[in-house]
Amino acid sequence: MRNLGAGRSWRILAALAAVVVLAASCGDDDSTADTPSAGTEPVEAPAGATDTDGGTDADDSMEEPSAGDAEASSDDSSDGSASDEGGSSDDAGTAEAIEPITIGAISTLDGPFAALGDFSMHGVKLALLEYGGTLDGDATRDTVTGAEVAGVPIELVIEGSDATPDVAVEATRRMVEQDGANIVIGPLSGDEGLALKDYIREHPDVTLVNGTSASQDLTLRDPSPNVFRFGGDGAMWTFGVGTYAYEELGHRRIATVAEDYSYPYDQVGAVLTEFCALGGTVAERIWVPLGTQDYSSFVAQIPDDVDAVFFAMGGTDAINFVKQYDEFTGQAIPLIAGPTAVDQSVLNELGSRAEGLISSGPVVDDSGLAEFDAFAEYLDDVFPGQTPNIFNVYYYVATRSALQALEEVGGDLSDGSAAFQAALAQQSWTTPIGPVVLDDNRQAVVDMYLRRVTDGAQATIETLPLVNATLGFDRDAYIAQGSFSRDNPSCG
Amino acid sequence: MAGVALGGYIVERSLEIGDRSLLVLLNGLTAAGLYFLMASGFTLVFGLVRVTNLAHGGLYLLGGYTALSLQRMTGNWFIAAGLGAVATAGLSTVLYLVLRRVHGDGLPETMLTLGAAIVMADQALANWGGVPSDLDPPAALRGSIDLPGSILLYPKFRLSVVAMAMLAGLCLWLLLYRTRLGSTIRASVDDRDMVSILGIRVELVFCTVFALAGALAGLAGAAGGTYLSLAQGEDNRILLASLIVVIAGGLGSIGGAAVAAVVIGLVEAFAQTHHAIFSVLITFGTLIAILVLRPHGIFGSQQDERA
Repeated sequence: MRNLGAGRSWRILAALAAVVVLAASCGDDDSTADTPSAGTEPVEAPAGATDTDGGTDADDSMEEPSAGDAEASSDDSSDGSASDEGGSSDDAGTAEAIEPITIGAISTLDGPFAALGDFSMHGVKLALLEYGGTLDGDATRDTVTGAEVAGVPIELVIEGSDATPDVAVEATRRMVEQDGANIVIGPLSGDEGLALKDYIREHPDVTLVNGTSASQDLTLRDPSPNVFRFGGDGAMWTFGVGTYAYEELGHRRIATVAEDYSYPYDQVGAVLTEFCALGGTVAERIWVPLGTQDYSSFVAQIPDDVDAVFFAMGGTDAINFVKQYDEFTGQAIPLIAGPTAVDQSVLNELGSRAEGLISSGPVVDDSGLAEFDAFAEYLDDVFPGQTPNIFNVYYYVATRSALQALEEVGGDLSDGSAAFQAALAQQSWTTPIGPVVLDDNRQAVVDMYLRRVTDGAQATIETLPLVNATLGFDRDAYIAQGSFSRDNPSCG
Repeated sequence: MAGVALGGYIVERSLEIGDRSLLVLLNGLTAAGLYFLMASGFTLVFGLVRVTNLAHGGLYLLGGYTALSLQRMTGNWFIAAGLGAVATAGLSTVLYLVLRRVHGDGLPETMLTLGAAIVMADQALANWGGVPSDLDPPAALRGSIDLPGSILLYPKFRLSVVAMAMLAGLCLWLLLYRTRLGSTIRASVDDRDMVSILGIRVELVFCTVFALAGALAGLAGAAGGTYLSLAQGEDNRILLASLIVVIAGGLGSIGGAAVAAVVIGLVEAFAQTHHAIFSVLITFGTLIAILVLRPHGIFGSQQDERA
């Protein structure tokens, strides 16, 4: 008990340091804990092919299938392509299997968006099951084995982040450099995507197929040739809301409340771009830190004299905000929602408070598309009780697009994945949420829906066909106005 | 230069939004109530056992989740919160029994509580999943009340969190200053060896304090899980907040925890309303200012240094 003068301050330091460690470890511990189970399998196969480390791994795995590529693609139908190849290239021993292709999937398996991470992995696994894979287990981190594309086995590695860019980059680095991932599916959130774009740019032979990261500048400005997005961005997801609020709802002056990072900047920016172009004004833009629990102080800042409040948040934040806004104001001023704030993944938890909320977004429950209904049934079949939401649909579309492109090139990732990336850029198919085609920046042009929450589901008000990355505005002028930020667009 | 600019900005913003002081005050007090429930147990454990219990946030989360499950079973908030607190009291006691083995050894102790915190967080994720959820307030405390003069609509449950914290504070004070157990606890804080020599089973006292701290954290979990929500990562957020309060109040001092909870709660509410960009900066700035003026916290004693 004595001499604790020094001991006490030391303890404070120790405690603070430990909290930092705790915070860091919470992002990390799952992924490190998981590496043995998810990671060893893919590593073992390349190890057999004399690879020791990820650095050289990529090169080798490219060359190997390319040797047998001509045969593989010519006799696609023959199931015995493995033995065919073994026989045709002499230096490869007959016992040696074809170098597998490794797909790394990353989503937020920890932190505030942990539930959304589960949904996204469902999407990835559904696509692999369509290619002959079987589920290893029911848990999120259980992978899929046995999937094959054009005779080439596909391995799945799963990594988690906590929605922070540095953890996402670290997890992706593990997948690419240790597990030898050739294709990365993900990430989930906006700033993670921007960070991964910079990382993946340094690895041109690796291909990033975005999950649900919706930052505009993942593809709009300074794109990376190996980054693909088969869905909308935050601005596209919010397309039409500003116009609808002005013209149909008659709002003239609004306030916005949104999380303080790139993805909500895009949502608020898109709404205000339309709303202000028509003559509307914004009274107050309130930015809250991601993961805020208590919104009382932010609700207090909303001016009394606005016609509506646009809020852009995800997951837990949306639930907390709507609940507290309801308690404090009784929704005296109507809310207009951002796309993920009323995504199907949170509608259940929002309950009756979400009824009637207007938003725009990529997924509605009554589109009537045969592909959507088939997907919903397939999802419920494999993961009972699950319904389509932005996360399982987008991760499914991303994975499926990659697998289709792989199939077209016969699993050939030679020459820095050149043929594969070219094929991927040409993918054009009808997804569960409508047709998709990529623009020159490898950004999707897709349908959006103006929608209203009705009986706990998203009902279509209007289908907005083929929304592009510049929301129909002149491309050069749109890009020149700069990335959306806390105060861009200025709106008068 | 930057300081001047910052100061100017703060003054300007303060003038801009002038009419919401009551709302900010109530918001601050609500936050203070939750912080106090957490920090009082935290500081008690530190004062007595000299352990920085990093699993305290985990107890909050598990207490909240247990109450959530119990509420779904019984439909009664009070039973759920009560039993949740009993559960975390038990868990906290188990933690002490493990901790006892390395007692007096600072680093292993802290590491052990850190490990427990990680295990608790993962258990919460495994059992309750990543989807955020919340408890329903008891029927009588549902909805909002119009404060006199219709100046403001304020949720009833938030007001009751303040009442709950005040009640807990009163009970703690009575326990510590009006009972034999309380005087034993206080004596153990001052000189553990002497108390031990007097024939009192110090271990039992420690065990009681851990259980008490666990119960308070569990109760805080139920309260926070009702007016905020329960989600992964909440344990760390609340741990950091209560750590700030405990340090500002003076390690080991219940009175300090109460005063610091109010100060930090109010400063945070004010900062978020008027200077949202700088709110974290202002909160930590307050902590630094307190530590500069009183290096041992508001009510922290310096007796240890003399010994």
